[in-house]
Amino acid sequence: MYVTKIAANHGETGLDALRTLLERVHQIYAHIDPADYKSIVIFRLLNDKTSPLDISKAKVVNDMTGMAVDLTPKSTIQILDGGRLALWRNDTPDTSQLSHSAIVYSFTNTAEQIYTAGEACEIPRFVHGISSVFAVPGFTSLRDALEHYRTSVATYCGCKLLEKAWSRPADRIFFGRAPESKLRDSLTQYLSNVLRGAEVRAEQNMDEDHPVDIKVTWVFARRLALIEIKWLGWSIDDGTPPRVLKKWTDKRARDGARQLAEYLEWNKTRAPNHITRGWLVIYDARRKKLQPGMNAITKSNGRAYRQRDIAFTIKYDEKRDDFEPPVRFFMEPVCSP
Amino acid sequence: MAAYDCLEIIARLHRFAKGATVSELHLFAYLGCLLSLYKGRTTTDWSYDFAGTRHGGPYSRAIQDALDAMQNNGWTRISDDFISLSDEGQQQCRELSELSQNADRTQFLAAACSTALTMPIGRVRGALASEVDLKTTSVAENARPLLDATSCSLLHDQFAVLSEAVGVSVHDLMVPAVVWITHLANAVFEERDATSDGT
Repeated sequence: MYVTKIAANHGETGLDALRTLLERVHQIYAHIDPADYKSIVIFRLLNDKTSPLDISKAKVVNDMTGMAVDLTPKSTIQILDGGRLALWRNDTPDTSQLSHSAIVYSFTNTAEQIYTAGEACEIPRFVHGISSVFAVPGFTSLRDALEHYRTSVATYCGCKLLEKAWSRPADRIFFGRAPESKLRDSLTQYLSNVLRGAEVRAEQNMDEDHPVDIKVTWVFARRLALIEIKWLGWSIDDGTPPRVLKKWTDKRARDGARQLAEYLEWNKTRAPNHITRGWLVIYDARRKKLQPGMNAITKSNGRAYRQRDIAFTIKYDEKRDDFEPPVRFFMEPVCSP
Repeated sequence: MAAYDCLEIIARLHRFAKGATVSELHLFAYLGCLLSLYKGRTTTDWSYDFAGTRHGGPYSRAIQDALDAMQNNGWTRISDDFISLSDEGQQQCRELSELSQNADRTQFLAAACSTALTMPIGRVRGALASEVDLKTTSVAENARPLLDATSCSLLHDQFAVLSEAVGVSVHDLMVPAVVWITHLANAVFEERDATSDGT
């Protein structure tokens, strides 16, 4: 663990530098997305009297807001006192060497490391679909969190848990057996990490035929969100011969809406003192012209439903004041070129 | 004390995390209290109590009252549920930090908030919810007090193991705080992954 290594190598001085470094990394990543860069190195000196890099070749900035303009695909940033930063463009230092006089953070090809005294410590990735552990967004709005999940995780399967939902993650044409729990766990883990001030829990009593629920509780605001998850598309057993297990169409989503409305009615007596909102979340893996056993799909067939919203015969979000507009995650297959 | 704790937590989290939500104030105050116990203080030294809620989080009446008073005094601002300090709130924080009764607490609050530098706050929350005392109350019908004699004794056992795991002799509590919360978080999320796998 890098915290213990820094404490062992440099004591209190090292920990002070680490705290400053990590605070600034968080602040920097509020202004840029590290995934847009090949290499970012950010460091804080252990002793201001040393100068391991030639600062005369750096641009010193006082304000982070325009930083993205100054950075290049490979950039190095020194944390100075007084909120200033020194930027070196198109430059990647020897991080191992630098770490003898500084605490060094490195982001390279989606891997993050902290260097101390010549040693690299991997930083674990806690939240899939987000490029850095220091760039995890903090949402208080569930709608914003779901939208972020849609673009950063669901659409192109940016999550190891979500990968497990597919029969073959390499093509993402069919779901595998009983994907419900994987979909639920992916969303639960994501919301647990990004929702600020809320408790996120998955309900336990489910199987293929019963609703999958996530409950979000804002304890101090007495608000509840009940998330009903439905998936659309085919699930298959990819054996020999391959076998279709389930085919869920739009009707499944409409059934889910009805079930959620019923559940909201039931919940009124269970949690009368809470403001409860119901959310229908649809993982949409509908494709055109599917055949069991196919392992390639054209763009035309794979993306046929990308823009095709579900037609709900009863619009519960218009009839009820506790039913949010349904949220659909269209899940892109890997299409043949 | 609770007022200072609120101000300090909000100020620290605002540096890198847009501020604090109400539940996070209770969470990090509780973690600060636990770290003070690790350092040999008592619950009496902390000066206010906590209860565990069935949602798995800690609650302190003193923290809630302090926050309400600060809001009435105009020391805080709220935007999208994130609490930050007004200019007056920042001034109050600086002045209160210089009082001897608060000087000792700063190290515990600083270490508690430093865990959020190393991992998402949601992960810190999930980790702490798995701590034995909070976990026990989360399955109870009603909220119940935390950190009774039995709980403190169990905590001290955990902390003895933690001290060995830390392995370095530094005064800075960031190390044991991060080591402990990381350990708890890894256990929680590994269990969740295993459940998802069906193992």
